[in-house]
Amino acid sequence: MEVKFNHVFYVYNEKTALSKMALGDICTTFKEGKITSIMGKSGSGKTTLIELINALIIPTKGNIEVGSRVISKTRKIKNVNNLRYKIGLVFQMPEEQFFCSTVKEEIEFGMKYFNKSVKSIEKHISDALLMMGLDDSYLNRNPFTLSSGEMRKVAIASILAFNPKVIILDEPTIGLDNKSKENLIKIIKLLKNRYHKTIIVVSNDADLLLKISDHIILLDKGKLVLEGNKYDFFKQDISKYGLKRPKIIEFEQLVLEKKGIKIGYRDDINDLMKDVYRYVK
Amino acid sequence: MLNKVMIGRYYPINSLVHKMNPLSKIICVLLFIIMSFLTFNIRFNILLLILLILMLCNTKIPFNIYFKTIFSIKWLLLFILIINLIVGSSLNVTIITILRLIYVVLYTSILTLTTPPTEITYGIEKLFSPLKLIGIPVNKMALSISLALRFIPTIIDQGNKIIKSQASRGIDYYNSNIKGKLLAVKALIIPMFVLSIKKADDLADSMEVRLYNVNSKRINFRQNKWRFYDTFLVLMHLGLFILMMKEVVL
Repeated sequence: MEVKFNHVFYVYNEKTALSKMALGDICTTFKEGKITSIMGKSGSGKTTLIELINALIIPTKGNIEVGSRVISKTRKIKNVNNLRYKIGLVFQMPEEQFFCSTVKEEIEFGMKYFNKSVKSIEKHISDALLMMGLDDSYLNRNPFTLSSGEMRKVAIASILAFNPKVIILDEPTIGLDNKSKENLIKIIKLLKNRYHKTIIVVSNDADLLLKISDHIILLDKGKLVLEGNKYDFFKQDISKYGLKRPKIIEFEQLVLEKKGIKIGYRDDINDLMKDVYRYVK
Repeated sequence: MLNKVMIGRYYPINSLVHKMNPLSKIICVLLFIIMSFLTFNIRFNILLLILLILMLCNTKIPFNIYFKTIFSIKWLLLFILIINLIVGSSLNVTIITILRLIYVVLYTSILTLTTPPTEITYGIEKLFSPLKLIGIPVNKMALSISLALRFIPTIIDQGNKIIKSQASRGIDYYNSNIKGKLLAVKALIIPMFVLSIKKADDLADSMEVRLYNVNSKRINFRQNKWRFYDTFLVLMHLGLFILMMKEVVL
């Protein structure tokens, strides 16, 4: 399912003294079956942008096409749950999105209340947990007593459980250890390659984005300032927007500048090390 | 839902009322509330209305904000109207009772819209400072009030996040039937309490590690000067109050 932004504006507290423009004239497309990442400093409008896709907030101007549905101020969306069923949104702070007393209730919430007949809910819950590297012993635990990494995993599992077509992850790696991070990267790639999901990742972790993204967009003060495929994107100087490039790209640029050797782009540092070793040998 | 709650919100613009000393604003509000609750006299009610309108104009806050405030208590006003009709009060009394409530809510909202919560606490602390002489811990009370006020926006934010989280997983408070609305509100209460208590604990810890001592003498970040305008308004309210008391007593 494709998500298309057509000249979208969003203003918080419109027509009051507290009004603040969060997004201005955003035109972009999140392609089906691709992983698109959003970068930007805090306060640049990243979270607002993803909340617009899920119709949690409605654009003050312009429209968003999600598959065949259109979200705009002028036209009221009919049966908004049908739209949200297709879009899974994992919020930035998992502990702030929980409201059930057990992990099981938290995960089954989406499946129950979208009024979709999901066969064998129990199996779906276990599968979603297992996918995130947690076992059934977590089912009866209180989500508020989990560690931040475990909370993050439960939050992602609660979205994966109802199998949405578009998956939006807001800062998914915060609080995760390295192993869990690697696991999450594998899952994101699996969702894209095997299940052809449209995935949107909000993060400033350049190394992570280089590994997983197909396309990256950069927001600054609510404006879309840069976009392109990951290699073209990271060729640009993004330090003026307060962001860092991936370490591998920095290293490759350094080798090219100092030694005049062009290594070519790699996503993983291990591949790069192998190439360097081969070259030295 | 929670974004529409206007009572208790601060509206940051630059106006004469915004610049006033919080203490004088609190004194004026108290005098106004007493006046509006003591009189049934139409002349005085008109006088209070003129005073209220003058104050509202001086705040430079758009009038639709005040209308929203009145709109948020519509059910209470309706309830009072129905009770008055059942009890069999005269039309005059009913209208004045409703007007009183509107006056009080509007005048109190002038205070909250033009004064940040911390400044209100400062005003309360100053107002009750003579009670220190008889051993009442005014500074502790002021701290409790300021902490309670500080948590209002936190709880509203938290509620909004949970509403969004529920909406993204199938129960949209705004677009669902009564059953859905009840379910959404039920699911809202527990996490809001859990997270508020957790945040209060964190705040207590952070105050302790910074060696906060409630009994030590504190100075204010902002210097609240007493200006001519403060004296003028307090005297004006006081004059009206004395005039009215004379009318009520005699």
